[in-house]
Amino acid sequence: MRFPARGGAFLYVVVLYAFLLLPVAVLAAHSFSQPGGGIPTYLALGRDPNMLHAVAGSTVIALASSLIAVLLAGPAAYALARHQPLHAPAMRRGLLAPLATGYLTVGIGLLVLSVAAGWPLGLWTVGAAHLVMALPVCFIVFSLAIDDRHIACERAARDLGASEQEVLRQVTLPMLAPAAVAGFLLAVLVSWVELPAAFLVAGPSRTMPLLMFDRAESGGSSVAALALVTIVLALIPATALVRMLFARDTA
Amino acid sequence: MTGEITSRRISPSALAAPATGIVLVLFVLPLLAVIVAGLTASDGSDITLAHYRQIATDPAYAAALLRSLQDTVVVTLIALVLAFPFAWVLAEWLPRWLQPLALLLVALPALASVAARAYAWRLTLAQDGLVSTALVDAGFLAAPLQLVGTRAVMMVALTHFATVLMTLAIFVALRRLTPDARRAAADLGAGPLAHLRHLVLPLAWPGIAAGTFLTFAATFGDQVTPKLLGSPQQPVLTDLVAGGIGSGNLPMAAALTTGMAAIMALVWLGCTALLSVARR
Repeated sequence: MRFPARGGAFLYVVVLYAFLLLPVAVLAAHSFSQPGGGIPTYLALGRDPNMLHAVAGSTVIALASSLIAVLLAGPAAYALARHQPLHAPAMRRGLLAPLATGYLTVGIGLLVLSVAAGWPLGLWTVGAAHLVMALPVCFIVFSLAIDDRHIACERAARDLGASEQEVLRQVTLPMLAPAAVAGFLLAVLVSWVELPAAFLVAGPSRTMPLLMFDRAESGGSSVAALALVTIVLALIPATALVRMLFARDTA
Repeated sequence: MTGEITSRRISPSALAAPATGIVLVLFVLPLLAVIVAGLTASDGSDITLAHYRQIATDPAYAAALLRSLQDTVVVTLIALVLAFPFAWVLAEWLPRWLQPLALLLVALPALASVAARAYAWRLTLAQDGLVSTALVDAGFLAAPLQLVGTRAVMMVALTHFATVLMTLAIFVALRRLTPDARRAAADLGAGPLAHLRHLVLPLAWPGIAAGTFLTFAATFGDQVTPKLLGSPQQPVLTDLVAGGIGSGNLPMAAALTTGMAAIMALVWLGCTALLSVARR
C-alpha cells in the first residue's frame, strides 16, 4: 500500500524519535559537557567501589533470577500446553498473577513479610522479587512459542520409534531452546532496570538503578555517566533479543 | 491421551509444581501478609477496617486516587495515539533489514532505569535546564520557568516512557506485517482503509492489548517519577504509599497497596479480554 502522505509520515517518525531519544541524548551530552566531565568522569566510575558493587549486584541478580525463572517456567508452560490438564486455565492465571498486580505489590508484599518474619533485607529479597516477576514473563514467552507443530513433531518422533528420553533430548528441548533464550534475555533486561521493588526491599544493598536514584536525588555529578553505562551494558542482551525477534519470523 | 502417559514420563502437575511453589511462597504468601497488614491497627494490636475507612472518607486519599487514575488513563491514551501511527509507519515503511535497528532505537530509553529518565527530564526542564535557558536566550521568555515539581513535567516524563512501551509492544506485533502479507492485501484490491482494518489492526491488536496493560502498570505503579519530578502539593497514590512506609505506618501503606493491586488486576483482566476478542 502507498502511504497517502509520505512526507508527513517521515516528519512524524523524525519527531517521535526526537521525543523518545531526547532523555538519552541529554544524559549523553550532560555527561560530557559539565565541568570535569567527559572521559575522566567515566574513568572515575571505574574506580568507584559503590558503582562496581552496584553493577556486580545488578548483574548477579539479573542473571540468577532470569536463569531460575526460565528453568521453572519452561516445564510449567510445556506441561500446561502439552497435556492440558483440567486445572490448566486456573494454573495459568495463578502463574501470571504477579505480573498482573505489578512490582509495587510484590515489593510491598516481600517488605511486609520480611518485617513480620524478621528476615534481613538485601540483594536476596531483590532477587526474590525479580524471580517472581520474571517467572510470568518467561511463562508467556514459552507459551507463545509452544504450538501444535511441536506436539505433532513429538508424536512423529514417537511413531518413528524414538524413546521418551530421545524425544525429550532430540525434539522437545531443541524446540524449546529459542523460547528459553528469548525469555532469559527479556527477564535479564527487565531485572537490570527494575527500581520500584528494589527501592522497597534492597535494605542497605544497592543495585545500579538504586544507586542512580540516590545520586539523582542528591544531584550527584556522575548520574548521567552512570545512566549511559547502564544503557550500554543493557545493549548486549537487548541486541541479541531484537535479532532473535526478527530472525525467528523470517525462518 | 492418558494411555500415552507411561511411568517414564513425568506428570504435568510435577512439571508445573516448582513454578507454582515459587509463586505461592514469593507472591501469594506476601500478598496475604499485605492484606492482613492492611487490616491491622497502626499499633499492631487489633483487626480493624480503620485504614480502609480512612481511605474512603478522607478527601486527601480520594483526591490522590482520582489523580492517579486520571493521570494513568490520560497518559495511556496519549501513548496509544502517538505510538500506533509511529509503529505502523516503521513496520510498513522501513526495509526489513533496518527494522531491528529501529526497534532497538525505540527501546534505548527503556534500557536505563526510571531514575535516569527522571534525572534527564530534570536536566532538560529545570529552571536552569536546557529548555528554559534556550527560551530565555532566544528572547521568548523574560525569566526562566519553574517547571520541576509541577504535574506537567511529571506527565511529560510519564507519557514519554508510556510511548516507548506502547511503541515496542505494537511494533513487535506488527513485525508480522511482512512484504508478502502487504502484497497479498494489495493483490486482493485492498485500499488504504481495508488495508488498515483487515490487515494492520488485526496484527496490531495483541500488541495494543499488551501495550495498554504495560503502560497502565508502569504509570500507575511508578513511585519514582512523581517523587523526583511531581508536585508535593498534589500527591498521587504511590506518594501516599511511600509516605506510609516512611512514617512507619506500614498498615496504611499495605491497605493502599491492596487497593492498587485490585485495580491493576481488574485492568489485567480487561486487557486479556481484549486479547481473546482479537483471537475470535
